[in-house]
Amino acid sequence: MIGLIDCNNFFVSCERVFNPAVRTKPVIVFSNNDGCAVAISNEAKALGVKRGDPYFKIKGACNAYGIEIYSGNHKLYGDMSTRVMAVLSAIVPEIDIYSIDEAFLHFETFDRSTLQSTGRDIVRKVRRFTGIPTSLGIAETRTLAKVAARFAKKYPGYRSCCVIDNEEKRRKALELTPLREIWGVGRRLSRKLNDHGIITGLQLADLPVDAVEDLFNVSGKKTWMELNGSPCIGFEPDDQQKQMMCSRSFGKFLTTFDDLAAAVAAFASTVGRKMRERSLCAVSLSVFLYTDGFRSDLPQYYNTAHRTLSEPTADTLTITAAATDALRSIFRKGFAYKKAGLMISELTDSNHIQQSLFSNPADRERRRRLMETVDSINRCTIGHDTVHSGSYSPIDNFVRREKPSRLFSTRLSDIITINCNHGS
Amino acid sequence: MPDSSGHSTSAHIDIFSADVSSSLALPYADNGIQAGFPSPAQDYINESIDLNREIIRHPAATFYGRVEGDSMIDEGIETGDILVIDRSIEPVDGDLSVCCIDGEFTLKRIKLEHDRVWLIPSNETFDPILVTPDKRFEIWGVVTYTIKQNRRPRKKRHTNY
Repeated sequence: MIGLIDCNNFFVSCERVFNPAVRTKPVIVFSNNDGCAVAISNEAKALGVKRGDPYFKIKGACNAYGIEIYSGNHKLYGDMSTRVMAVLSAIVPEIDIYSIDEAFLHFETFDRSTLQSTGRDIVRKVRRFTGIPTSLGIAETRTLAKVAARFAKKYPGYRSCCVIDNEEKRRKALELTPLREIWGVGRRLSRKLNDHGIITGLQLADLPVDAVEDLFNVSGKKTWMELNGSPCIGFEPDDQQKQMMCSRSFGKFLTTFDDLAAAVAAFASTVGRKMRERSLCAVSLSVFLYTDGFRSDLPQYYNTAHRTLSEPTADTLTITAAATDALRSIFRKGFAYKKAGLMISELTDSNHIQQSLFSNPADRERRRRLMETVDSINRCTIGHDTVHSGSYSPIDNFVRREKPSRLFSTRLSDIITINCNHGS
Repeated sequence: MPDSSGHSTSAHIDIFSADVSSSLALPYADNGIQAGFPSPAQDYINESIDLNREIIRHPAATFYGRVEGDSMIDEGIETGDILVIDRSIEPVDGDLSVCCIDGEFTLKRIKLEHDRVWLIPSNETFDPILVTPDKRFEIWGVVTYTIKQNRRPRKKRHTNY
C-alpha cells in the first residue's frame, strides 16, 4: 500500500502556526512574482477567492471582508516543509517527496489491517510536531492514494485519513470522484472523455481495455490501470506547479561535505535541465538535508537553507553555486546524512528574465551567461519566442508592502513573541 | 608491483583492489600524530560541545520564542529571554508551556485538572487563568530551556583606562 500525504492549504497553514490570531480568519498568500493568489484558506475560498486571482482584482474584497493577506515567504515555507518531511521520514522508512507540501509514503512493510489508525497517528504527529494540518490517503496505487487523500481532506468524517483497501471502497470512491480530479487526467482529456459520456472516475476505470487503447496514450493507460488497482506509475516529482523538487535518500550515509556537494550538484543539473525544458527560471531555491530519523542511536539533525538568486535563472552553474553555498551554511560535521534535496520554491516564466537584462546593464559577464541560458531556453521551446519584449509589472512590491511575514522558524530576530503581560 | 619484481629482490608486494563498499567509522581525536607517550587527554574523544545537540532533542519540532512581559518573573524569566520550545513533547501537569489563548501566545505553567486547565503565572500581581470552554485554547509547545543573556549589550561609553 502507498500513501499520499498533503499539507492542507500549506502556505496559509505555515502563516497560521506563528500567527494564531489569523487561525479563524480568511487568509490569502500572494506570490511574489506576479501578485496572484497562490494559497487560499477555506474561509477565503468560501468568499469566492480562487487560486490565481490577481491582487489588484480582489484588493477591494480583501478590505471589505477583512481577509488577512500575506506575500509569499518561501524561506519560511521551505523550512516548514523540511520539518514536515523530517517528521514523516522518522515514521515511514521510505518517502518520496513529491512537492513542497506533498509526499508519497511507502506502507509496504506496514500491517494492512491497522493502516487507518497508523495513518491518523501520522497526521496527528505531523500536526503536533510542526503545527501543520495534513490529509492522508492510502491505497494500492499512487493514483488511488491521491483519490483517497482528496476524500480525507474534503470530508471531516474521515478524520484526515482515508484508506481505500477493498473493492467496494475503491468503486464507491471513484464513483464520487469527477474525472478532472483524477491525477494524470488533464483538462483536455477530461473534456474529450466527457464527450464520450464518461463523467466519473469509476466510468473511466470500468472502460474495457480496447476502448482504453483507442482513447488514450501510454500515460492515460497507466492512469486507467492504476485506477483498477495495479501500480504502474513510478515516482516522478511534481513539476507542474510553481516549484520543482529533486531529492534522494542515500544508499549509505554521507558524512562529508564533498559527497553532499556532489549530490547537490547533481540535483542542480537535473532541475536546471528541467527548467530550461519548460522555459522556467528559478527565483529562489532551498537546499535541505537530514539524518536518519530511524537511527535514534545516532545524533539527529535537519536543516534547510534558502537562497534568493540575484536574477531569475535556469543556468545550471548559477544554481549549483547558490545551492552549494546554501549547503555549506547548513552542513555540520559529525552527522550521518540520509537524505538531501534541492527545491526551487519560486519558479517564474522565463519571460521575466527580460527585466533583469536591462535593469542590470553593468554586469556584462552575467548578461552573457544569461543570454546563453536564454538561447538554450529558446532552443528548448521550438516555435515559441519565449523571450520577447513586454512589460513585467512588479505587482510584488505592491503586495510585499501589505504584510511581510517574518522568518519565524529560521531567524533569531524574527522568532515569535510570547506575551507575558496579560493576566486576565 | 608483481610485473616489476626485478626492482626488488627481497620485498614482495601484493596488489589488492580496495574494498570501498563498506565503511568503518573510526573515533576521531584531533591531536595530531605524535611520537612518544600519548596524551592522556586523547581518551576523551570529543570534538567540541555542540549546544544544539545537547539542547535540541527534536530539531524538526523545535522552535524559539522571545519573552515579552513579566508574568513569569518569579521563575527568573523576563523580557528578552529566548525560549526553546519542543512541540513534540506531550505536555504534562506543571510544564512551562507556550499556549495560544484566543489567538494570542502566552507563557505559563499549566495545571491540568481532570476536566479543565489552569494557566499559572509566576508573578503575584497576576491571577491564574482558568481556560473556559468558550476560549480558543491550545498548548502550542512545551518549553525545555530558557536562554538568558546575562550581559546585556550596553551603550558604548568613552572610558579611560
